[in-house]
Amino acid sequence: MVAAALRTFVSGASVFALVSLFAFGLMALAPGDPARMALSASGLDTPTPEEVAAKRAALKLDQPLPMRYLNWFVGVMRGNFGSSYRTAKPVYDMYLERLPATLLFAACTLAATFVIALPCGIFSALYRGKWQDAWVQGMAVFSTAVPNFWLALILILIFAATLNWLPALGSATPAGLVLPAIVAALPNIATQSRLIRAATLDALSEDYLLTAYAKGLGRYRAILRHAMPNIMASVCTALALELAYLLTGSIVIETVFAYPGVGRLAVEAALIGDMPVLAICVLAAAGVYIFCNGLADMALAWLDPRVTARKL
Amino acid sequence: MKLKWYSITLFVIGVAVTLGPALWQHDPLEQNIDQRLAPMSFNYPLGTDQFGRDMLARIMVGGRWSLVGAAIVSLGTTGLGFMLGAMAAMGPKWLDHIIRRLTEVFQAVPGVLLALALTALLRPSFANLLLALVLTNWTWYSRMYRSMIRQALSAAHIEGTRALGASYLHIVTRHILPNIVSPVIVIATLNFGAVLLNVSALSFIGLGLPPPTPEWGNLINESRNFFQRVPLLMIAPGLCIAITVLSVNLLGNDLRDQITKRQGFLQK
Repeated sequence: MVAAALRTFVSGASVFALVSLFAFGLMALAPGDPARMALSASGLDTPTPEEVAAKRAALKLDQPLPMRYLNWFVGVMRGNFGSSYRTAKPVYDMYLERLPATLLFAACTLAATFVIALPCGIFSALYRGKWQDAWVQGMAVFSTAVPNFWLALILILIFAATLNWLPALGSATPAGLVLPAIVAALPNIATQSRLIRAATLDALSEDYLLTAYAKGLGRYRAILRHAMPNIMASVCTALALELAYLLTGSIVIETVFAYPGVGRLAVEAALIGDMPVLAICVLAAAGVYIFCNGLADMALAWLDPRVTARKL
Repeated sequence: MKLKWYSITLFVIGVAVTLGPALWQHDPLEQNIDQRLAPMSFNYPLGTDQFGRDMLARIMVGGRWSLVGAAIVSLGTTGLGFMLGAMAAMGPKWLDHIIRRLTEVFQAVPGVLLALALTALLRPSFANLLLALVLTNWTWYSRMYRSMIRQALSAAHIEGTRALGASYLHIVTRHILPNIVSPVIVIATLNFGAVLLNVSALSFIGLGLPPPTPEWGNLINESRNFFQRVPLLMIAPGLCIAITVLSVNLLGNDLRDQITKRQGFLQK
């Protein structure tokens, strides 16, 4: 267990280091001179050559690339991610400012996904091949084919513009979260319920369920007590990766609803070429992904002891 | 094979996109200020936009960009994924290791964010958007192809060819590719829908084609200021995307079922 955890940590750290190279590359290779951008962000639009040179020295831009990378990486480890080209504010603060809204959004979306996908998946496995199953499967096919930003606009049209029940713009309030969470959850529900269906079908053919029936347990109780851990084990990786994705900010959905999360921060930065902001978004995304992936591995080993036995 | 409804919709969309603009009476860029935001009529079956441009013509031309764009991305990812997958499967162990690490790195950052970062780095344009999507989507393909090629490599006739001294390139192109070409086509078809959704989503955000050129994603974006007054401007292009993706996905599912039946090669 400890060895497995250590191995997960080492491979995660090496992936993170490689992603940090990419994030640094975003800033180093981007068109435009960072010194000039930093100066114009602090209000100096036509700097003299001396001022530019001074700023270059201050930002250590005159050093060779490997040194600049090391300097930057050490800064990152200390929480200094550089300043935005647009607002001159530290990008770390800008990111933290947006993070709570995205956390809330991710939690709501994941909860909605789970609460709907779990019964749907189990239900459609129990009624395999019947019309109930076909219906659930059909809905899943439809919901993965619809562009989410378009669905968002249609829901805004119906529930915000016509019925006036919900606000058209997303915000970190109960009413403002309903539409974004529904739109973000829908394709996830489709994929998760398909996974849960397959996992349930696998579990249904196992001997331990037969034993449970033989003990006199009812169908639903047997599934809930005995099959559930196995079903959870087979979806926990997918669910953890979904969480990682959501924590990065569902970029498209946050944009449609003008939701003040980190995904929208990344879009705003990309459209104007504010590279330090994009770099922190990429780094944070990779960090979250690696963390969730490792967590899922651990959870899997805990839910299904056979996994560790196979790995070691 | 029975004629399915999705083959009919795909045929109609294909004809409308290829021949439609040449046959239709309106030019997609021709502005007609008297006819701004006109409703549906015989002259304008889908109405007009805020500059009085015919919506049907814009959707037909827009489909060209969306579909050709998605096709280029699908071909590009298939090619890149296959190449890296083949290298990982057949090359020395260290190469396999490097490619696996590279895959993990690219998977650690969500595709849309990575595409966003790459387009910002390369300056936003449609070509760069497609390139960014190829560079972000190949990971899944390469893993898939790696395991498929490994499986194919273990066959006896490959071992024989190897013993005769054939080069890797010869083995891949002459012996492996013919064996796995149908699953490759199925995988590409199944992913075309997702790629089309990605292309239109990024161009909806504003990273795609510049304004006068229509594309399904940016048509929806352009309609945002008017969609409460004229919902059709937003609904029509989105419906085109949804129907196309749905049809392609169903086609892919059917193709997959057929080859699964024939050779049990792809697992469901």
